[in-house]
Amino acid sequence: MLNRTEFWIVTSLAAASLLLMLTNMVMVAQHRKAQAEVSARAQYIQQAAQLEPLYREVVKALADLSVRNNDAALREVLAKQGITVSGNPAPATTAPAPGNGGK
Amino acid sequence: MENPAPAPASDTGTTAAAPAGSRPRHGARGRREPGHGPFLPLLLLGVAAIAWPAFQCYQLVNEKQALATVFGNQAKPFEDSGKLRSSLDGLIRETALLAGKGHAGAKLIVDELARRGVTVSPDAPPGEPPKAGK
Repeated sequence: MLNRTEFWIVTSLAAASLLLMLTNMVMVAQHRKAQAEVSARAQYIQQAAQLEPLYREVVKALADLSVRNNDAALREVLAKQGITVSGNPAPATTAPAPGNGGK
Repeated sequence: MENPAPAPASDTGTTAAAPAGSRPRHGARGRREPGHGPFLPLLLLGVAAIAWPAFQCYQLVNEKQALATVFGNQAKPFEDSGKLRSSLDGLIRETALLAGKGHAGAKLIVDELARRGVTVSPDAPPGEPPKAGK
């Protein structure tokens, strides 16, 4: 049999082990959630990066058409997104780099 | 002269005559042999049961910090991505609305987008970014 001291030492170790196990379980759950969130955000960023060329082309096409035809409606569409088009010689678009306060 | 007679067998000790199975064990009651108690194995078990989850906990804390760093580094690109998407959504939606009203230039752009596989529906709600929980 264990004496009193031994009993308490072993019991303390077992309690600490249980506590650590519970902490681990909670932390693993949190970790998985954070990982899922980070990977979802990474996917979102990657998809947006793939959309950037399309965005530039749409802006360029709208600006080209608005300057070529002196089209106020298209210019307004661009203006709503914070893009101003100067109608002189070349279609100069000031398409904002996304995220640089273009809006 | 007196010759001392050898002591009878019964006097020299009872152990010789007793059967082996019924021999009383010396110190069986009250005294414990060292090293055979349950304390040492239990102690080792307890230390092992603490060491493994403690190591896992440490690893998880490290990984959590790394994830927090990645999350922090994603903040700016994530924000930019949201702006780009909403801007593109807005542009395409407005262009599609204009095309729906019969604007030739807008129609041209919408047709070109459709040719590239970009479907435009002016009534579609803008895409939701992943929830930022942190």
